[in-house]
Amino acid sequence: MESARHAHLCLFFSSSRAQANQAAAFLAEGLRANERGFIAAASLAAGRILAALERASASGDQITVLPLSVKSLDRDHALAALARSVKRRGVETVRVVGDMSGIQGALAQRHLLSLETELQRITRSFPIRVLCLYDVRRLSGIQASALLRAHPDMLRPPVDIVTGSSAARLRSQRPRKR
Amino acid sequence: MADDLLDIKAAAAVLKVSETSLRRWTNAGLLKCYRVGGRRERRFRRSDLMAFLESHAMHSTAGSLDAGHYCGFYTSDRMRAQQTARFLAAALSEGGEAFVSAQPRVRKAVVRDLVSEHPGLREAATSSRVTYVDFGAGLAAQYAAIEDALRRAAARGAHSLHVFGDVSGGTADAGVSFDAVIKFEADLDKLYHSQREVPTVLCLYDARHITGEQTVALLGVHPDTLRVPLTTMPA
Repeated sequence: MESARHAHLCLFFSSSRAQANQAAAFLAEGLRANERGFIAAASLAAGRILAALERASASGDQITVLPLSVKSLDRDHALAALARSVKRRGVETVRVVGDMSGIQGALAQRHLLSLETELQRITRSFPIRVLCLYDVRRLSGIQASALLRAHPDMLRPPVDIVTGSSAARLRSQRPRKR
Repeated sequence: MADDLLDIKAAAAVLKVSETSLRRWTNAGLLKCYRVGGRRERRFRRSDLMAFLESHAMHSTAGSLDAGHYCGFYTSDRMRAQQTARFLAAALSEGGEAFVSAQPRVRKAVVRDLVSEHPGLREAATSSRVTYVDFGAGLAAQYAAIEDALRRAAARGAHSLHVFGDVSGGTADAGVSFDAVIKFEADLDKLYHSQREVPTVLCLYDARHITGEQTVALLGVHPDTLRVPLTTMPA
């Protein structure tokens, strides 16, 4: 999976195997380029991704696992910890796999989108590539569309053409004058 | 030198657009270029590129769209009209032609939004540069109409064609299965990419009436929409 130096991407998976294999492929590409890798995920998913990395003959030694769950999730704290970790290690480029599937059902959509907005900001401040994983089987069309909008690096046409403008979305939620 | 002549690759890099877009704009007389050598290759002055960039950015808030087969998603009728109006604005401000396939009430809302956001395009929106057709006679008829539009545009030597289809709106009451829509789109994708001049196509879907998996399936048959493949591997 080719990606730019700054990138905020998303992946919609429909099986645990796809989740692990594609996350591992993304991290392995970084390891080959001597990048530092992070997995922000619940322990079960992180274990699956590390095992997939091993199957792909890539060492997980250079991967740092950060726990991610609704219980432990404090948006500002989690993102600040990630940024500190990046700075402390003095690495040039970082790859992060964020397994959002562990929290996508329990977290309100607006909180999830707020988290994604913050991640988008961070990817513009650091040489960082983030891949957010979502279980598409548990997404509605509206949620999937909103997530695409939150990952504009994924899209070739202007995001407003693909998912509508923010202003239009807000206006469409207001009652119409009769 | 600030005004060296740039070849088409360098000029495309300056504007961060494709070489196809540059060819389209020069063919339409929107962007000045010089022809050099026996093969009459295009050369561009940097100052002309900068002037074009400024005028184009001011004229079209939609910006330019590279040729390709895109899908988009809306969550209200109003959003659908606005997305379509922006798409058409990009087509018409480039001097191109458009083929709009949607229900009459949708087309009316689109033209209203287009004229409201881009008053300078009022005349173009109601001119022969835009062909409006109903999306309601079935997918086979729709495919034939698009094929015909592409053939006519090529025969006229149209320098660009933008195609819009309100697929959800057009198939909502027709009892069309989702699988049939996917096949229709896959066939169209082949048709578009077999053209000498690939058109710029936007197919809109109502996100309120599809699942996440269907969204991914639609992106799969509109692969130009994504910079990065969005795939789901089999279990």
